[in-house]
Amino acid sequence: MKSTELTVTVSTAVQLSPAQEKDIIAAIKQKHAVSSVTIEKVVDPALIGGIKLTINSVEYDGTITGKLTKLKSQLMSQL
Amino acid sequence: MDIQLTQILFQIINFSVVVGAVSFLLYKPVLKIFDERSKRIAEGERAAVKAQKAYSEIEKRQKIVESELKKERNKVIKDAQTEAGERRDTIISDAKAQAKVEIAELKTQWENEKAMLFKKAEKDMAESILSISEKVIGDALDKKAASQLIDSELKKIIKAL
Repeated sequence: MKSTELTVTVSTAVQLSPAQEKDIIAAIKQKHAVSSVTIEKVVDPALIGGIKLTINSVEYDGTITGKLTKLKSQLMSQL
Repeated sequence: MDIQLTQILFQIINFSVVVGAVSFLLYKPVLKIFDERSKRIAEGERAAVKAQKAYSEIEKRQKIVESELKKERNKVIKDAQTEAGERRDTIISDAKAQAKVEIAELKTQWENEKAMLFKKAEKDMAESILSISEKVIGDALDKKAASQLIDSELKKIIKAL
């Protein structure tokens, strides 16, 4: 394991539970092989639901707003 | 009464002289005048006949000219009618063609506008549906459901990492 530190931005519509935070840190440590993970939490009700992670400028969007936006752009491109 | 031969002879001579003088001085000039008059009358008659002939000829020519004029007039009228008919047909044909083109253009324009309106309506509808969906989902998610949704999405993200 590399002894590096990684900062992750976690955006949700509601507060994360401690268990969820723990899961996120564990998963990122494992997948990115880092020793320390710092979470920057952002609570944004506009996301409606779900979760969005931003790691090294890469977004993993699992929010309702993100899915609806994706659906919207797909619909608009077909019209 | 005695008959005197000398006297008779004298009277005969005298009468002959008178007849000769009258014949010489009066009869011939009168005859000449008559001849000249007859000639003038004959000339007048000839001139009248000639004038009559000329008049007939003029009348004949006038009739021919009138007939030709009538023919020419009829021809001009017929030509004008034919030309007017052709022009009318051309104008109608051009107008029809122009109308056809304009109708086609209007139809295309209408089809384009209709397509644009439909597209806009579809977009508006999609946006409305998405907006309503956001509202409905937002209202439907309580704290527990929101937390479950985070768990579910987090699992997918961790798989994708």
